[in-house]
Amino acid sequence: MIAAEKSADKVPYEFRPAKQVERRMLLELFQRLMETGYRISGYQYTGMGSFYFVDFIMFHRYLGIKKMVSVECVQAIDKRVHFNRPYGSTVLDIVMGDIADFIPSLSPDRKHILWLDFNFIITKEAIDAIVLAAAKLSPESILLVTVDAEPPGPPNWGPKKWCQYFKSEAGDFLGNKSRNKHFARSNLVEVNASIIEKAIQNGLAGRDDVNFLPLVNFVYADGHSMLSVGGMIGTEEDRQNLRTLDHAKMPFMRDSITANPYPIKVPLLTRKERLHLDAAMPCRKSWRPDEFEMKPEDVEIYREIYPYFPVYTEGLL
Amino acid sequence: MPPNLHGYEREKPMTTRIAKAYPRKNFFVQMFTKDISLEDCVLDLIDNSVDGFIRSRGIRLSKIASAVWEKKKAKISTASLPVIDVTISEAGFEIKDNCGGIDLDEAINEIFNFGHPFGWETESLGVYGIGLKRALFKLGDHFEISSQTRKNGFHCELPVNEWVRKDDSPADWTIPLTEQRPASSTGTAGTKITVDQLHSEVKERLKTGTVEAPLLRAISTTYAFFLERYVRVKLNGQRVEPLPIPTSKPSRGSISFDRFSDDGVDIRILATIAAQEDPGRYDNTRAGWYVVCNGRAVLSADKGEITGWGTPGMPLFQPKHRAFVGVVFFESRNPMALPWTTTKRSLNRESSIYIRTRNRMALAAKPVLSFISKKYPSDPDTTPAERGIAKSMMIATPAELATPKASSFFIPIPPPAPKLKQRVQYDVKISDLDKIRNHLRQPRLSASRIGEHTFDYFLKQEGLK
Repeated sequence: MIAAEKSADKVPYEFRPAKQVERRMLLELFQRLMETGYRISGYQYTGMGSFYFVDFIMFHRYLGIKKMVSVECVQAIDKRVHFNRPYGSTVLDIVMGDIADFIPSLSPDRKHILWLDFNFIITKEAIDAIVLAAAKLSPESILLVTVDAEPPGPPNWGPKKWCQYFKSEAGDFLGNKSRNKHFARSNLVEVNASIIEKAIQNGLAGRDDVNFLPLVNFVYADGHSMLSVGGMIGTEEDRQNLRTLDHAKMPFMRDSITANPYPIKVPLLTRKERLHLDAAMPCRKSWRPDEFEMKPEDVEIYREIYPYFPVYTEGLL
Repeated sequence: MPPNLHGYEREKPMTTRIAKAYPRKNFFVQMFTKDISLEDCVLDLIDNSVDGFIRSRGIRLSKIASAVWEKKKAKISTASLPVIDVTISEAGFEIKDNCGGIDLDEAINEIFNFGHPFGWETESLGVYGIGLKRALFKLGDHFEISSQTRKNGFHCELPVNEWVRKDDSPADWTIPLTEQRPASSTGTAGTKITVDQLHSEVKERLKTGTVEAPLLRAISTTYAFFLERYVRVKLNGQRVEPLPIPTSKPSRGSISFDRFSDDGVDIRILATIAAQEDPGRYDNTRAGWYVVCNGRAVLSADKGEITGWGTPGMPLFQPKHRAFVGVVFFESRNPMALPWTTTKRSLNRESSIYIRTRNRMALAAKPVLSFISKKYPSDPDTTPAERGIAKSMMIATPAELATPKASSFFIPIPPPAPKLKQRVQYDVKISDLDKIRNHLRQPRLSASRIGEHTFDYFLKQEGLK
């Protein structure tokens, strides 16, 4: 089973602000891809929706995607997953099983958005799924991979044990990283990203017509440090098309999944503060609110993410 | 004047000298034979006979390979099949066939060369122009070849030790042939090769008594698509029956099937549950990947890294995977494009065709392996539906398994029946068990029966049953 540690109860998905910012950024990216000529509304979206389906609702509502599959591996929540399905089975199909078992059945005649949204630290099984996805996805498809980038094992483990863990789970994909120092905590995001990149390259081996064209590379923490990378399985023509995307309008875009990740940080703000800041957005770089104290770097962050920042309110029903 | 690059003056202009790069007979006889097995030799010589059959009957090898996919097989009269008769013992080796023979011109100009010239094209099992010679040199110090076609014939005899020693010029790289009369009929046209003065290592291997059975099995699987259809092979007088790849199909659902072309090579992949030996029993020796190039199996029941086991996308082969069988067919009119090694008993892992195929093999295998794993749940009390479904699989040939479109292995699984029983386990003192046995006056009552009895007793006493 791919998600030994996965627990849909671990995090209330709807209230993870950084994750929600990521979803909204992806939404914007897909909308821009549509403007560039990619018919995203005709794509199949395959994700791991658990029983929240937040991404499914957004992609159906705002991208018009009408064919979606949620793959859930925890058999014990079968009824709950089906109970919470937001749309009928003609739009959203639910498959109970491992995502790696489902990937081979993805139609080569369709274009796909496949989000391998692993809510756990990278494992052999997760790497297998990445390799198979890169081998299977048709040209112009989008592959997204999310992993928990926290150190593996119990809290008393250190770089030596982390190194052993990664060697055992991802030995073939560590390249020249062989010493304990390569697995220092500060390097773990890069270690994960490099494993994912090599797994994608492995899956693409022999597919001379396509490459992996990076688009996003996020790091964020809603309690856990997460790494989320993605790109298009595309041809040289796609590479040229993607170059026409306006990076200035999407500062979160990245052309590498191993270097310079975009950190999604969510400043802690009251509702009143947010309303005040929003009234000034988009602001000049040097602008600061006069009415309350706010660190300059938080203002900078807010300037970039305010269009994607979710608003949560309590509703008494 | 050229620049003084090395810090010293050149006194005179550099002259070009020619270094020798000649082949040495000793290399081909001593070194080139080191890495092949006795089985490899015999299969290479059988390839030579099969090629004679293909040449003399004007059949395209690609046609034989593609006949695998014919759903309705034409009836064959096995009585008239050409026979390849192999005899091997410590006394010597002989392979005799009536497959059509080797043409004299071809013997003079091509058969005995080491390798083929640039631009050489043929559709045959002999690809690299090395197998026949390597096999003969490996086996012994003296060989004779007699061959007759309907047009001509020849005989040659080579004391290998003497031939090797004379190696002064390209003229020494020849073998004298004696012309012979042509065969009187197609049925008698053929080739006979005998090797005597077997090498001591070959004799030692034969002495172990463990050559014949693996060789029989190797011939059965390697030529499964040729035997009793195009040719008959006998090994030490015993007819070798084809051993078909044990594939099966579900009554509902689909197997994994993929087909694509690459550089003139047509590739088909299928993965499914293996055909059972007896209901619910799978032969571990027949599980794994089979790789077939132009109808000839180059790997059979492979469980190693070369076919992807233990590499990304595929687990290491474990005993529970004995119900897995996958087959890859490579077909091409240009055998040089196929990913086989020179022995044709493995794959060239650097072949770009094979690299392009490997991940697609993993994609085909993944859902089959997952289905098989579900037959062995962690909860011993559950009987997964997968077990019953696997038992109901029906034997099917590759032709029956091929589908017009690519498919992924999928079998609809009915929802599990509600669980009605649960195993209860706990530890008690042995002295307490004995007390119960004495009380019930049943000294041999088993611990599990005591458990059931006391459980039942509680239900009755509490009015729950």
